[in-house]
Amino acid sequence: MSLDDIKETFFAECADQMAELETGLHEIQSSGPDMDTVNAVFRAVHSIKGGAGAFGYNALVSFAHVFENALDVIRNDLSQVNETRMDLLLRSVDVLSDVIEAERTGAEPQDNAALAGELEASFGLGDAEEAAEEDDALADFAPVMIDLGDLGVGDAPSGHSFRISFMPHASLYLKGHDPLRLFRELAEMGTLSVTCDSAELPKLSELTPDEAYLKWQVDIETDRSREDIEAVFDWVDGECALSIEETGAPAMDDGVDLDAFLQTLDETEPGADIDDFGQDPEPEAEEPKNPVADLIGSLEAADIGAPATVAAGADEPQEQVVDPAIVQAVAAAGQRAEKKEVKKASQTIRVESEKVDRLINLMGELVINQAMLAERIGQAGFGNASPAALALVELQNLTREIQSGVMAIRAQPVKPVFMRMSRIIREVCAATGKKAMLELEGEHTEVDTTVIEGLIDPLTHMIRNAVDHGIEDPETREAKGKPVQGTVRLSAYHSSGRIVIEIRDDGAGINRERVLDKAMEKGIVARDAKLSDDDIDNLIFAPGFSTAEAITDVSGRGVGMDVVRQSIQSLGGRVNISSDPGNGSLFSMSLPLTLAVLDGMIVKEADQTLVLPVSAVLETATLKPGDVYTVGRNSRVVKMRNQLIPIIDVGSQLGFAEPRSDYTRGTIMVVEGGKNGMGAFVVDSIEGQQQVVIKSLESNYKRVPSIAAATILGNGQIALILDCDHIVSHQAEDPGAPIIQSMAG
Amino acid sequence: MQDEHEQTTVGGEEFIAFRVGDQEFCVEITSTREIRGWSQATRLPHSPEYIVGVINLRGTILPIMDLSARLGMGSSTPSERHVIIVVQVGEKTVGLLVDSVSDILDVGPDHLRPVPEVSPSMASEMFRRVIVMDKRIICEICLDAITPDMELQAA
Repeated sequence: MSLDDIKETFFAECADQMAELETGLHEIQSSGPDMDTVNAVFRAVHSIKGGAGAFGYNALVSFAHVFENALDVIRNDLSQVNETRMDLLLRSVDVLSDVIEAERTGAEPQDNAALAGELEASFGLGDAEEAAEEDDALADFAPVMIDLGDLGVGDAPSGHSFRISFMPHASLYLKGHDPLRLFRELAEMGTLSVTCDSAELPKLSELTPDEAYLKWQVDIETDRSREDIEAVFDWVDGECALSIEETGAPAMDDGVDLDAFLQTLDETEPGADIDDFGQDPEPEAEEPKNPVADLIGSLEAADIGAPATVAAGADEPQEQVVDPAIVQAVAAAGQRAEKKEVKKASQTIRVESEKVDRLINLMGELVINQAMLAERIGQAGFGNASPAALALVELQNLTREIQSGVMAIRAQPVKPVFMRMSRIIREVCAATGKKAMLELEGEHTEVDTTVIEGLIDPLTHMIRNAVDHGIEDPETREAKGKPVQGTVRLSAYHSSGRIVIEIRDDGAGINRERVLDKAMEKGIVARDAKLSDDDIDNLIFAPGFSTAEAITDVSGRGVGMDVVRQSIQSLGGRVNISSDPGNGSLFSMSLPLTLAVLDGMIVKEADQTLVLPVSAVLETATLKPGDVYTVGRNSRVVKMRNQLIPIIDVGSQLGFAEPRSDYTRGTIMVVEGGKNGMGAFVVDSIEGQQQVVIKSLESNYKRVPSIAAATILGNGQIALILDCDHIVSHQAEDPGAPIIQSMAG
Repeated sequence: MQDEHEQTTVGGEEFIAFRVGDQEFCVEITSTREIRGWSQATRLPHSPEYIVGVINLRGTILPIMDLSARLGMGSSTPSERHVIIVVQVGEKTVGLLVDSVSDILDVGPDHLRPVPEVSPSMASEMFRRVIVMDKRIICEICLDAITPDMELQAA
């Protein structure tokens, strides 16, 4: 593992910690602080700081440090949470994320001193006494001596001396930490004297091998700050009892000579190359360490000349400790404990997405080959009940299972994307002076990562819009009797094989009059058009439409909602809006769970094999002559279940054939086309139903209207997958004419 | 002349020459991926005349361009005799439908000429250079120029 790899891991972990942090703060904001959440949040920042320290990312360390201290105030007194402070903390998350990004890319981190200063001011970090007053037990963490001007970079006055009392818990050894390493690091800072206190060491007969009994008192004379000393113990925070006191007095002179002490430890260390430890920031990556070895080392060290009182019985067990059999047994116990730890850690694994992608591609080939096999078996004349056909069914079931298993690997909760949106809201609020908060629901809903990636941009845009155009400014809200703070609710759920994502705001809703005026002004809709409320709402998706009076720097970036609609459609999804004037709007997106396979209905039309997503097909039927009605000059509709559904001649619509004169010969498929309602597609025949692998046309060609993608059939031929929404909305329309004219007419 | 290429003997560039109608054209051998026979293509709706359709090239969707139609020489009716030259254009792989592959040329710099000004009907911007060898005149197809709208749409 090279250093770059380790850094990569660090930044991946940072991302996890940031997610944890943001989730936690959100929880605190929405349901008030509780100790567990606050601790989790604190831990996240602390881990980031610790890791950053190991790599020497000073800017990150110093900001994380202030952040951490601020959180510590809350950790010590939950009632310290208030709105201003939460706001400050949330903004700090954004800055922290920026600083991490800057460190990752090697860019110059933005100046964050202002926010750091605000944090300090708001949380009273500058005032040591106040901090101490808040909670005395805090002594370990209260940043008593910090000079906030130069955090962590340590230009502190020289000549401190500190007394550190350090009592490792057993967990410290279990995690592979080594006190020796800590002492070495301290020794680099100044003059050190270490005293081992083995008073708590029981008789060997009472000794539990994986318990920790030793503690050390370290006196150090150094020109470094207390900060630096604390930083040494960052990695073992929570794994030991630690106190650092500043002492004016000179160092104790009755301590063990450090060199001798270290040497003894070295000699008794079984085979571990201690010098390497400092270079590896990942404890897991270290060779399994045996706590007992440390114990033995310490015992001997204690024997060598520590003034500490070695328990009366200690001389006797000393001999037995040397007995190799016992040492071995004890060591084995230690290693068992170690293994347990490792097992727990491997419950999740990080896999490069490339590997998963390859698996998914292979799975696609498998599906195609299976279809090929099915075709061959059919051609060979085996009946449906023949052993060959039954074996094929078995294979098909297995393939399906493998497929859903593989897809599950790539499925991710939408949460990270949702969390990102809270930052967007904060930014928009800051830019517009509005007040809004984000509520999440169903953020654990899982969907394929490719869908998630494609979601980020449209979602960002819609969230911006919701606040910028939807939520009113605080005064207006107050006047209307609404809560001053607006709410944007982002929710996700699964529904019939798709994921539905909704954005609901409690703002003003769509101003239909203004939208209609604007649309007429821009020529998107005819002056005399009669539009339903729904049609008007959906005008905002029309190309070239932007409602904002003046283009703000928030939503107006030259792209409108039509781009949002397009990008959702390119994911095979659709987006609808419904609005309740005065009470807000609801944007609802429905997306496929995966972009790799779909259940397809295979149809023949005009000598072409076409595929329709099964999810879009509502029913199929054949027509009798009396079922078809002519409306207007050229449009025909079919009456089914008391509904009039426009007939769409797929072959002629795609330009594959002349318009047919007789609809009764073909098969009708009633297809759902999103907001554009239903369409009755006429095709020559239905061939069957089959899973198809979605292959992009764009990768080698370009997007083709009315076509969602392509697939490869069992005979090796390519079949096109129809974009039902597009076909329904563009029926009988002159090429290039705006959508809305057909809707209006 | 110093020869740094292993396989070239004259030290020039290598081209694949092919026939479209009664003319010869060529592309650089480095942009050629493979040459294969004609197989039935799936038609694409709403596409220009020179896009014959798409075929399955070992699991990828390969668009086929009728070079004759693209160069304004009339559409060809694909048959068993036709050949598809699979070329790489930027990130994309495209198949060119031609009548037959005629030659592999190793051309020295003195045989390569700039495209002469010809009548606009035979869009000269579709060619990069002209190879003049013996009595043959072979235009090198500018792959970027014949696939412009595909590139634009991809952006």
